[in-house]
Amino acid sequence: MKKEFVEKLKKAFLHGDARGLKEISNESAEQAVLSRDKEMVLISLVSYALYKMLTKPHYHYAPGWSDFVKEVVSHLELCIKDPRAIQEALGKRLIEDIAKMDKLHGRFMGDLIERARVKQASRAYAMGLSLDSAAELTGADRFRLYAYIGRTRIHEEIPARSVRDRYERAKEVLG
Amino acid sequence: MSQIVCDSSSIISLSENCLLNLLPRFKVDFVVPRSVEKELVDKPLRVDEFEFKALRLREAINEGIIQVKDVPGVHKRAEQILAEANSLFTPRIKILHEGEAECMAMLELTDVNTLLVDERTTRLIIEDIIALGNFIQSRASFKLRMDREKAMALQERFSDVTVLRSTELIAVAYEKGLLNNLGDGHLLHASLYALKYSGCAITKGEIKEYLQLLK
Repeated sequence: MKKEFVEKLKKAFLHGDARGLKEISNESAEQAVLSRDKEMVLISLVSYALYKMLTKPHYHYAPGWSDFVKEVVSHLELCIKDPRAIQEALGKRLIEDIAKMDKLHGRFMGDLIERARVKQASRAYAMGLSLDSAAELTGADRFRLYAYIGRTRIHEEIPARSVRDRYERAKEVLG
Repeated sequence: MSQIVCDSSSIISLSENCLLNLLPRFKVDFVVPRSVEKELVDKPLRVDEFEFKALRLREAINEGIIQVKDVPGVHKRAEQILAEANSLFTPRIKILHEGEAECMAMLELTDVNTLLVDERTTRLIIEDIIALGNFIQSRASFKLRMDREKAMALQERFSDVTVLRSTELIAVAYEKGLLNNLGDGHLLHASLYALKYSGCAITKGEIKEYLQLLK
């Protein structure tokens, strides 16, 4: 299954298919929730980071972009040939290449991979995992994740009790 | 003095809004297990972006605003709770984390029966685990089955536990006039939304209810 995801990832990236990359990121995140497989998490993070880079012109008009594309494809092809290489090729080398590109040409403090961790952790939380379980899955920082979650509509979808009961109980407890 | 067990989500929400100084104004002690202290202080101390937040939280612990409590047997009990919670679904999904399970273990192993938690899943495990199960099943794009009997048995273990959020704390503080130093204005509205945007699992509908209740 991982090999299939990486094949789809390579195809989407080469075709400049940002939407496809986002879908791959989301689907692999869902698989990661099930499997807690760190390599599936890596596929999700890398897909998301590449999706963001494809949607931002300042990356692909930057010097070094064509070399970066060649490196990405090379790492992905290695993983397709041998899925055992995913941890090294994606988890170390491709993430380093993305971080380097982001450091040179990115517009935000805080790198792209960290933002991917938060985004996909938020996805896992939206599926029902606890915040800490979601943070642990993707390696997202809790402070970043809580702040991000607070700005989404995730909590609007949960069943709610009457606040009166909760409030009355709080008054009893808090004195 | 009675105690309330707190998880990291509630402490972070309060801290982000400079509301930890309210805690000593209540007639309870706010306690966290050692694992929550690690999440709040030890780990973020190593990250540039969060070092200052961690220092402030460390100060809150040093001043006794939040107390770290070591309870014998808490790790073992937490592991058991984790094993149960994380095997409720087929295929298995890890819905709960060690830190959250340790908070629940503290509730079982001590006479503390109040949990302050802002994140949603831990709260629903205690209050309405079937609703949590339905929610998770509805969000999965794959077929997921919940062992309802096992789920109810887990919830039953915490049937005497009261779950509060930072928003309940703020509502009580507001009613007691503890926020009056912030001057006039929509104090309750502002503080509830501040906590919501910091990650507290409260809906807009609930905030509206609070504003009606305490106007």
